[in-house]
Amino acid sequence: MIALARFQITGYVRSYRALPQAIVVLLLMMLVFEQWPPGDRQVYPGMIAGSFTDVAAFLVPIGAWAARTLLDTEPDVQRDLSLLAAGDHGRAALSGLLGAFAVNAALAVVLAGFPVAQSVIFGLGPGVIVSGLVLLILCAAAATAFGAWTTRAIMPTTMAALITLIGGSVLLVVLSMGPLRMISVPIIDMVRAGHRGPAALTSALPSLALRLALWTAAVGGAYVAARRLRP
Amino acid sequence: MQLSSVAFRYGRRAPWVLRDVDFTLPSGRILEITGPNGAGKSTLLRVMAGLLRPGRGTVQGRPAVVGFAPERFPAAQPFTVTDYLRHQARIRRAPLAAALDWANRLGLDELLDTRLPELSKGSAQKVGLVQALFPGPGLLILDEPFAGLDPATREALPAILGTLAEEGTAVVVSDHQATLRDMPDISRLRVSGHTVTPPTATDGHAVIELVVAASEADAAVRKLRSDGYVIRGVRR
Repeated sequence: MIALARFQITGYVRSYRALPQAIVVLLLMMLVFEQWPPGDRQVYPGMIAGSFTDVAAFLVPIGAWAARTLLDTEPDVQRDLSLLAAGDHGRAALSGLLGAFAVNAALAVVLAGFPVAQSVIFGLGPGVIVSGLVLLILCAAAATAFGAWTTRAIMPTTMAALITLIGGSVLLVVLSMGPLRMISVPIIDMVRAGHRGPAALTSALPSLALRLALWTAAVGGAYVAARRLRP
Repeated sequence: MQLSSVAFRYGRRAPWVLRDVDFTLPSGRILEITGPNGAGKSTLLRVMAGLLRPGRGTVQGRPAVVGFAPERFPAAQPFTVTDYLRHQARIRRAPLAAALDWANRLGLDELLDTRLPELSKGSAQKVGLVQALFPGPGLLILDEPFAGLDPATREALPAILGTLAEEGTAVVVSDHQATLRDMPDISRLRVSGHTVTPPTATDGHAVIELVVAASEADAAVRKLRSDGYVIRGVRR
């Protein structure tokens, strides 16, 4: 599984298909850096904890896009050859998810750079850093599961895939604001907890992490099942 | 390996591409699949490989290791030949040396550092063959393997397939150019009318001389070839 994931990641990077997502992540980092408080401005902890959750929220659509791009890098015939090499449909699907998650985890680590530096410099303690990193990694996993549903192996046309990717991202945000937020990625609850400060973020972490993990398991599991049940 | 009452279609409301397909392929046997373009040969091969699940019926006894050489190897990938084979060897948990050995046997040794997109169609086809051959498959499926190959490899391939079959590999070849027509002791099946039948006496070969306008000769050759006929020569 790891060898196939490595093959897919190598193809994704060498074909320069990773470039658009890298540029968007760099732009997002610049936005976060813009929030770096100047010397005459008072720092409040909620701003730094909020940086973690803001980038985690943005990672969901960007990571889904990256997952889709990575999984669609293989030509269709190569996907068939990879499937035979992996042994079965389920293992091939899991390898793809693993590769996409590795890329998204790397994006999460890059995005965590400034918030971690801010937390260390302003002495916020390890609690907020750990909470932020856990949420970023879990958002990377959720983004991977979501993005996998928009790949050619599932979606018949590029138009359908793009509508699902963009519409799905908007829907996840809208759902996370209302009474149906329990069935969505907890984007708004996560951002609110971050902006309320490190203590609020740390205490909300178990519930946010559980919801993210369950959502990822359900959506990712359904993707693997869909790949296995394809004709 | 046994196919029992296998039927396949590409969608719930789509027409059946294959129906009532029944046959057994013992290990160590070469099976040639013939039939006109669009008859469902490639679909049958993909069902046999396990890439497609039959809508009805069952495929039983498929060997664990399946090698599949597609009709067109996907050369638009950012790897050199060696890089590609190294990744495939890792995925298959097989030694790279086995892949390089097959690459040498098929005359790819001077192209190992060439990027896949820069390969000619025939060389790319050889990479497709190497990746199918090197894992030592119990079932080897080749979809139109002779198309685009250089004459030397085209001549050598039947003997290679014969050796693999002697070693116990079940080999399935779809070949509308009938390159294996002189090979003794192989099984043949014809795909037509959405099902698979053994070739009958009426499927024996006949030679026809055809006269067409010189300006239409190329088009006629293309059409006849695409319908699965063998062109022995054109005189103008």
